[in-house]
Amino acid sequence: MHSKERYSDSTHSLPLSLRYFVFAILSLNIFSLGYSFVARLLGAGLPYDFPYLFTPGLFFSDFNDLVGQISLFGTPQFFTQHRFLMYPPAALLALRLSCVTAHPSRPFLLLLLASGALFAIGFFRIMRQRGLARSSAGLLTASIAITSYPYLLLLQRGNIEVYVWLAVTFGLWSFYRGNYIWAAVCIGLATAIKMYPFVFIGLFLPQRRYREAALSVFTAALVSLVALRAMSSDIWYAFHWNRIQLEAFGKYYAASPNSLGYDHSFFALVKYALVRWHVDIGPAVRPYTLIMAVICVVLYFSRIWRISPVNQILALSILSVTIAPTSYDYTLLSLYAALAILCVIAVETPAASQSRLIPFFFLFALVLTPESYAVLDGARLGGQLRAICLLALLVLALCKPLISGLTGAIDQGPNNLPIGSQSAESGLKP
Amino acid sequence: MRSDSFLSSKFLSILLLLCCLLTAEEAIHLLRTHPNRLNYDQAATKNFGCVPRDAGKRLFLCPIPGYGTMVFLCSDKHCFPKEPTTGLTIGPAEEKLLRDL
Repeated sequence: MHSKERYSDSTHSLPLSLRYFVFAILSLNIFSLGYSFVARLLGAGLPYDFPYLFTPGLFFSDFNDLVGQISLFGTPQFFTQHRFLMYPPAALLALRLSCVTAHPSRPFLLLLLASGALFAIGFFRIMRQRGLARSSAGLLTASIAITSYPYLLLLQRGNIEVYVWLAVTFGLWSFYRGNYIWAAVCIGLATAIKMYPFVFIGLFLPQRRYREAALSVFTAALVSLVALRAMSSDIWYAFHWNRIQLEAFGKYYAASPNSLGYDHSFFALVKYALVRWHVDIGPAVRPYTLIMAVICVVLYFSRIWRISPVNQILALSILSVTIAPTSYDYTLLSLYAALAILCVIAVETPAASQSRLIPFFFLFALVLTPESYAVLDGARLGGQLRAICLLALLVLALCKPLISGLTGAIDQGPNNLPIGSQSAESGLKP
Repeated sequence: MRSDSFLSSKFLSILLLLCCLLTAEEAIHLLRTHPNRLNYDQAATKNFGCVPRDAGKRLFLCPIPGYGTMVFLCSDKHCFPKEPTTGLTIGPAEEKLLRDL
């Protein structure tokens, strides 16, 4: 973001699509909280009175579970622990760097809060710069912040997904503004920490920015190498140990029906179908991964390659949080960069074309609010409902062209017809 | 009159306020009841008022302060929240979790 950019002289209220969006996120959140509240008053019990601030286990459990183990990082004892550490090397290094103080959970909580504040303030400023009145920008920002279920889950669990969120957000915004080198570095960092953000490297190829794509791969490899070296002087040994840890994730978590209500991956839909019949999911993981890889490659070269860069950002953001065999709900934070870009587009879109954006915003609202009401036969189905909404959002991203007029924003290809342009209004498709 | 005229800033602000109130109510209830204070990882060994639900003592029904009850799946070392989709049946993946983790 250009810090010297000034706020627009003329200010205006929320455009129609954003008013619908604010209405959708607030009413869905009220319905969700109201549902839990009434269920609690009626004594319906769990999961009907499920509060979205509670999951069984201690506050900050994801972080606190790892603190003891990660304190041995860099020592031989680190490799002889009983519990698995199912994270890539760069994630373990990031976690180690978060635990340098005597009470590591406090600075980490501060980091989580600061990240939320940074996103909110940054988003507010961007909306103001695009010409929204202070009250409208404030209403939009506050509504997104208070209804953010992925962020609340992140705070509750203390998960290291925050690093991926920061790297992906800065990376996508840099790409959107045309700062490709920073975008490449950030996407490389995110890939090193969590692997699945590698799909964002696909943003550079249709624009023939091969150097930036290579820079992303190089950054991911370099950071992983540094992390392995920090883990042990024998990098090869550390690499093999980490491979076993990551395989354990596939064995125990990807194939596990546990926490199915928090899992919005496409595979969670398959799991839900299989689990009800007590089928062993384990043998289905590898075929699913291979089939998904083939589908993604075909989709990328046949469709994603040809759509506008903004559509590519949205499509790849969705794929980054759905194609893994297990994807818990805090990973949805990676969608907020795409949402911010969509909000910018909404502000710039003429009134006549606003209605075309409403389906995007409605699906975002369904995905990002708590969904306490999604319960069937005593089991939460929030993850499965989100997976279906994300699939619908992916289809929209692939079929409905979006464009931005933001100064310094990414080039729009000649084939990409904008929502709001005459071509789009006349129903032409790229 | 346009169909979207009800979406005024004033109306949306009232919704935001209602949202804040419900969130605050939820947070206050949570702080009063402290369901997250108990470490359910040790539900089988610590006395949280959990009751075994099977002969093998691998399923425990535990009270969650302020919210009702929840079934946990326990090995000698750890407990996990039981996935409700499978009811009280322990599936192959859950057997693997109990055995190895």
